[in-house]
Amino acid sequence: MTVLGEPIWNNPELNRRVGFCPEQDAFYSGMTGLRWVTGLLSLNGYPPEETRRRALKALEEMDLLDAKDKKIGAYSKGMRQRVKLAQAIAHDPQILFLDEPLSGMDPMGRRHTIRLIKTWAAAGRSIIVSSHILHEIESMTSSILLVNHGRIVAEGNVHEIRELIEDHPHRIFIQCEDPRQLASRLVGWPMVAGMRLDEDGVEVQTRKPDLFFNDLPDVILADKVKVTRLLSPDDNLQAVFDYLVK
Amino acid sequence: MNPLNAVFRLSLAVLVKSRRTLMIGILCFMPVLGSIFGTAFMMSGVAQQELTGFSLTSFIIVNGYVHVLLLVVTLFYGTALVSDELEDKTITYLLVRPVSKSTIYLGKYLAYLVAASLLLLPSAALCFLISMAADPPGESSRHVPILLQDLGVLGIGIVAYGALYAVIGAVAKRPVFVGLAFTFIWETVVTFIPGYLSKLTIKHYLSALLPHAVSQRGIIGFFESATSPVTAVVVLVLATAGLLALGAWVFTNREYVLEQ
Repeated sequence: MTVLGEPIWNNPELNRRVGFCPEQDAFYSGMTGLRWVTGLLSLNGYPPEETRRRALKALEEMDLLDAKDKKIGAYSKGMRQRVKLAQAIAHDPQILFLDEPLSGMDPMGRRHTIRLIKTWAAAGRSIIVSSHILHEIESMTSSILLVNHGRIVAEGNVHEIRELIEDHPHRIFIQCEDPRQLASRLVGWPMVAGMRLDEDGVEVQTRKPDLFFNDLPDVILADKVKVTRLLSPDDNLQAVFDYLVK
Repeated sequence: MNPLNAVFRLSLAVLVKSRRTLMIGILCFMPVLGSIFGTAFMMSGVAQQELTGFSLTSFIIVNGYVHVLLLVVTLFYGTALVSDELEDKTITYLLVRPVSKSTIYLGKYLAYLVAASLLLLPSAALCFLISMAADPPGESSRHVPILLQDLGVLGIGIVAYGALYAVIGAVAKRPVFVGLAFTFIWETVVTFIPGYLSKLTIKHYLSALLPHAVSQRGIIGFFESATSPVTAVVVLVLATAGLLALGAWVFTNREYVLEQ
């Protein structure tokens, strides 16, 4: 196995270009956030002043500057997660491996961290995020690698992968005022493979979603159907994963 | 900062703040308490005349420190060097830094040497100072060279046993139990077996360096076979170097999998 073209086993020099935030909630006891990040960063060989400067910058980036002198044991779960991220980015790595990076964070913390991850990616860093919470992954990227029991089951853009799953027609839910009227118009369409009528809308199953979405506005306009919502319940990572592994 | 120095400083900071150090610190204070009670007993005049401050010191250093405390402290510190990081799942943070695994191993070992020395040696010196208060003035300064020799033996013991237990910590899954079994079966029982078998223990070579007379070493002294101090130092240095090299090699080449 190689990372950045180099073997990973017993190749410590590679770690200058790699940052890693592990999943486990593990720390050296009794240390403050600053002492912990500084201690780990000192292993990269920076002079003490440079180590401290980088540690402070990383803590600031993770919004932990005010809590830098507090013991990690007194941090909330979200703060502990962020201090782990701080040690991962403090040496400005080229590639970041983040294992469940949003675990334990509150909604604000999640939003902040997702924004940061996107910023790091935009700045040219490669970021590999491992997560079981698939909608979180979707909020960061559309480029995914789905792994089930150690085997890769899909790779690429989530929407493209969804297109390729032919066994499961796409589900499209149209919320409208008169579902029966709309259903009666759609039932004869060749691209419609199935249909389910609800009180507040119609769920259509189609194997040609692009064609369906192309023709749908004409019917809506012609019949003056008042559509309030249009959803694709299975055009997401979780649904793709479920289809692929079940 | 030099990577070895950085690992050493980080590991020492972790060791100093650990609960293990607190427990070992309390344990190291026990002989000091023994010295205080023993000295008070002697000074009260109840004790027999043959019992002197120096004989009390000799007894405590040999039987309390070399035969018990040295083993306990080095066992609990040495086996924890790698296994604590694995149990606490903090080893990941060290292994993803640009530092070779052998440097991590040696840096942690150096931190252990400092922590164990700071706990054992001052405590032994304190026992000496307290016990010698029972002897006539001037006696204590006459015995200072023996104290220094005792501290040297303890220091060598910390170095050698630490290297041994660190290897056990790097290899075994439950290193404390393996270390305990080794200590009480091999290092203790074998010492009582007459012949050359005892020469395969670290304790044999440490005993050869002790400046105290056999009569002051307790029952173990009568079972010891003679080894010259020079041979003892050479064997212990070589054994330590070999054990450190073995431990570093194991730590470098073994893939540690964290329990979920």
